[in-house]
Amino acid sequence: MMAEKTHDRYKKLGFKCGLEFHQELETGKLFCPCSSALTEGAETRAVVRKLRAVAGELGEVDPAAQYEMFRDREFHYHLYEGEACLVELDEEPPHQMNPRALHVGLVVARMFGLKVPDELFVMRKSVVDGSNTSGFQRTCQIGVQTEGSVLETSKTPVGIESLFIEEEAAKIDNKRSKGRTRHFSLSRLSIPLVELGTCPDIVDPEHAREVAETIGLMLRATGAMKRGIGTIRQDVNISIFGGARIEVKGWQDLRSLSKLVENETTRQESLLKIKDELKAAGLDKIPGDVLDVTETFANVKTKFLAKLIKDGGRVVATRLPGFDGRLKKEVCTGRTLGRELADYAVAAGVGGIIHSDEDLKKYDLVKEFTALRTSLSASDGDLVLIAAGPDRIARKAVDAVVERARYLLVGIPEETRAPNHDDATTSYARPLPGAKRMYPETDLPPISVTERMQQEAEDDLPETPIQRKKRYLGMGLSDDLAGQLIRSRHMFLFDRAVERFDINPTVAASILTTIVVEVRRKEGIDTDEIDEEGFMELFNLLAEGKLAKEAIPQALVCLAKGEPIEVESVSGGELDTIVDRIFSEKAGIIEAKGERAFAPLMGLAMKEVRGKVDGKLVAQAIRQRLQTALKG
Amino acid sequence: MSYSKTTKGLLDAASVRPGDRVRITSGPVVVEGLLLPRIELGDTNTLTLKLDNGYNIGLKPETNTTIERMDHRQELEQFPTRDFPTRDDLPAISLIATGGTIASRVSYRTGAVHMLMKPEEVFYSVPELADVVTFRNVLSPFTIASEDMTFGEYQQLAEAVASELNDGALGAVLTHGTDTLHYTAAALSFMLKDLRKPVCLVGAQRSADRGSFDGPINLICGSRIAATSDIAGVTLVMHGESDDSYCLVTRGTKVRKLHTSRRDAFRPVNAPPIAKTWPDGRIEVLDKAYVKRDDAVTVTADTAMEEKVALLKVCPNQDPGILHHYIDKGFRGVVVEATGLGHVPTQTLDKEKSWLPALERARDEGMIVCFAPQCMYGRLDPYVYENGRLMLERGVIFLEDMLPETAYIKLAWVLGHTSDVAEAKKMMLENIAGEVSPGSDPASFRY
Repeated sequence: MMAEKTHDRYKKLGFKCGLEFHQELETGKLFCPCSSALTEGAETRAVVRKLRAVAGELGEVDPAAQYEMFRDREFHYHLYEGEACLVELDEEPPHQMNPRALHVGLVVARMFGLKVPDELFVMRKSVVDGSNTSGFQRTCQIGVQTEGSVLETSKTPVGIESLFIEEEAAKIDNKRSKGRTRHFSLSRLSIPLVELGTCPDIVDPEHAREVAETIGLMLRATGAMKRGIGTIRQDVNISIFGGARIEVKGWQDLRSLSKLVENETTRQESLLKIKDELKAAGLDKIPGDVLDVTETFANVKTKFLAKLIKDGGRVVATRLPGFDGRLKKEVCTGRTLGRELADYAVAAGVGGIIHSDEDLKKYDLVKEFTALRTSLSASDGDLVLIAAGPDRIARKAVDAVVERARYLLVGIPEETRAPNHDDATTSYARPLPGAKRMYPETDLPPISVTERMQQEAEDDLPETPIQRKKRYLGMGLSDDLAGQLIRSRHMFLFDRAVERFDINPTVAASILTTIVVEVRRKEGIDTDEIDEEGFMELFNLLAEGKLAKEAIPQALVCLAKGEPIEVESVSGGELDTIVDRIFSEKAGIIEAKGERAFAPLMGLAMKEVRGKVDGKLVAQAIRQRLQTALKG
Repeated sequence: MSYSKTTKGLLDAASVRPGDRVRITSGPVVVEGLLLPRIELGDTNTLTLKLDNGYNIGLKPETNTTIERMDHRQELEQFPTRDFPTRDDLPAISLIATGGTIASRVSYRTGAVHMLMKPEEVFYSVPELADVVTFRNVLSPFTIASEDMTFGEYQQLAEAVASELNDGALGAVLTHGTDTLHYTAAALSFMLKDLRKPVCLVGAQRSADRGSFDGPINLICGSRIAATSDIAGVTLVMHGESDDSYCLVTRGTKVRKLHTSRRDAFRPVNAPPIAKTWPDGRIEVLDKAYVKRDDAVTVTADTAMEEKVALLKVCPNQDPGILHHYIDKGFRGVVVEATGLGHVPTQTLDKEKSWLPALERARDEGMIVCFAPQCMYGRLDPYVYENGRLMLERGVIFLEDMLPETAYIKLAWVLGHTSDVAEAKKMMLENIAGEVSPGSDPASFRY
């Protein structure tokens, strides 16, 4: 019933949603021989650059690109040993596309029923936010939609629209970045990514999560994907009736994707409501006069403002007529309209805004704001706000807020938004870039996709997650365990282990999924440190009966610490001695209970050897000894 | 380049031409986009489409493929331009644009970088130039890649520069491709007699179509040096390091491209740079021994060049027949990039490989042979080894620490001015445009 209701709600809203699923490949970098391991070991050097807006293939300068240029930034690029060369530094043309990465791309295209163009063109996508040293990202479409490119889901089939292989951007170092200066690590730049775009067929937030998860599992089936935080990112496009397309860029947490989609939908819904309210209140114009009011704040007690002014900064103010009280309104959980508007000021380069809907006592600004009302000729129903910073930037910030406030009367502006990972909401990031920011990568010839390349992709088609799960169920794994295993980073290791050793698949699967997690949680040890060789050693001991099931967690701790597996164990001879002793000590029980003495004897024995020898071997020893004793 | 006959036939049948919007249906695939002209590389059967998302893809028509025209041709080749305002409050210099990466853009037709950008397009890319200088004149006598330069173009450039400077320009900025920028710098250094104003050559290693275009800083720094500094003479002003921080001002005769692709590819050789300069106008002089500006002096373009000169690199096992070839062809002078302190093969076990007879013939037939260091860094010396002394006996001129490229240009210029061998030899050893450093500064190696 609940699901039905959710579905109806989103249908009524005219909810439209599509995903762009980005996944990093573990194949080495896309256009040079550098490592894609992303260890960021020893820093070898740093380079400082600037970027400029440029005209595209059709002549025009992309507005998004222009916007970034005006932000007047300086970019510091840090290089780490083995993970960046002159190619990443934009000091050498790209080498030919990494054939392994291209192969994986062709495999993925097949998995999703996409048509691979006969000739591939690497394109340059203008990006002047500094995340690419060249000012563009290299990207290449390797999959085109066909009638058959559809993803089956529990709700409705979702069309797969396109597949790209592209280079990852450099990772920003927010800690080091300050003001106009941004710091980036070049280790991530140019790691290959596959980007899979769906049609806007997603029907509700939960469905978005399901689609993302399904795509993720299918990609991982290739065995060529990077794992870990940040290796998967989703861009989500969301719109509702009366709104505009909003692109939320770079969501990383799959589990809370539905929350993000829900919050963003609510935000859009609220904005449309606010528009109606403003119209109903008769508001149709926002003047937006900007005034330098630094004088009013000359004796301000608020520390950060006082410092800003002392350093030559200016305080700039405006009034929003009829807006009094409105900035307190929540647009979605935890976000007020005030916060929403402040985002535009932040993007313009100031720390934020202060407005009259806030608790001005908190800032110790009551007096100043009262004076401000007079100088701005603000009436009671008006809201007044300030931004502070270097003159040009402070003005730009207030202009941006006014511009955004004006758009409240129109509706929802098309834009790119950045997710806030802590509460699954979004903040304004930049205007939506157009298609014109693409032009050919002239340093690379087109790639002809040969029949042989296609055949190799066909030969390498992996088992789908559904097929894999079916196979695991056939091996006797429970539905839950099989489900966990196909999501696990160890699924390929599992396949190799059960092929190599005579071990119970359920035991092996549990070790690789639940037990590893339990050990990590209980012992606080990084079980990711255990490599394939370590697991294989463990499976070997298990197969040879040299390790009791009970000793597995302890063995995993050893492996995680990089130590040899050393668990206390009881040899066959020692076990016989212990059993003999118990039998002689407890002869009374055998006499009294006969065959039913097995259980108490077993209990006594296990008390001594638990975790040191396989219980099966203990039972076997006791049963044999009991039979001999009873016969005797 | 165009589409193959078969593919063109298909397009003609559908009345489709490159630039049209088309829909291509091929089995389960339906795509719409702009049909692009066929680029130089790849399969000429394959149609190149620009999809609505901006990506280009190639599709090979199959038997069941249909092509429909959806819309007419769209004009693709446009590039925004910007007129450059003349301002009385800023120093006036002249800009001479010749082509190269600094004046290049992407061509969707060839899929390659195109070198046909007009000066107005350069201004579009570097609008802040308008606040630094004013251009009293913008010339573009020709637009070619630097590897296509000939002596004729050097002469045109020298004439143009002299005329601009004598007409009142405070200095001149030349935009130029980088491959042979140092040859042009050397040529202008010799040709511009009594040059007492700055002539700055600038190029770019990244083209103007990318956000990381390195030309703007070079152009701004070059323009500032030309307009306001007292550094007279032909200099090259380009990135000093991989950072977009400062430029080096280097002597036109003491500079060489030492990297195929880096921004800071041009390094001074056997001399310190004259100065470091920042886009905000700061100048830090590193070598005070430069010619100072004197706006009252008139410059002369003295451009005669001899065509029959060559630059030759000697290497192990090289057949001395190559020198005979030049003599046979009537060459008047050859610069040999000699090994080490100035050597060529002389006492080879295989007598045929010795260069001595060829050098003797050159001397006897009046062809000048000069040696310049193959090592690039350091000075030649004929006296350390016997080999060197053998060379002196055969009339070889040792050009001290002169760069081979500079030596080649100088030899052509010298032989353009005299037919007397002795006079030519004397001129080759005279320091005309700072091409020889009198002393060797320890700081000048791999600066």
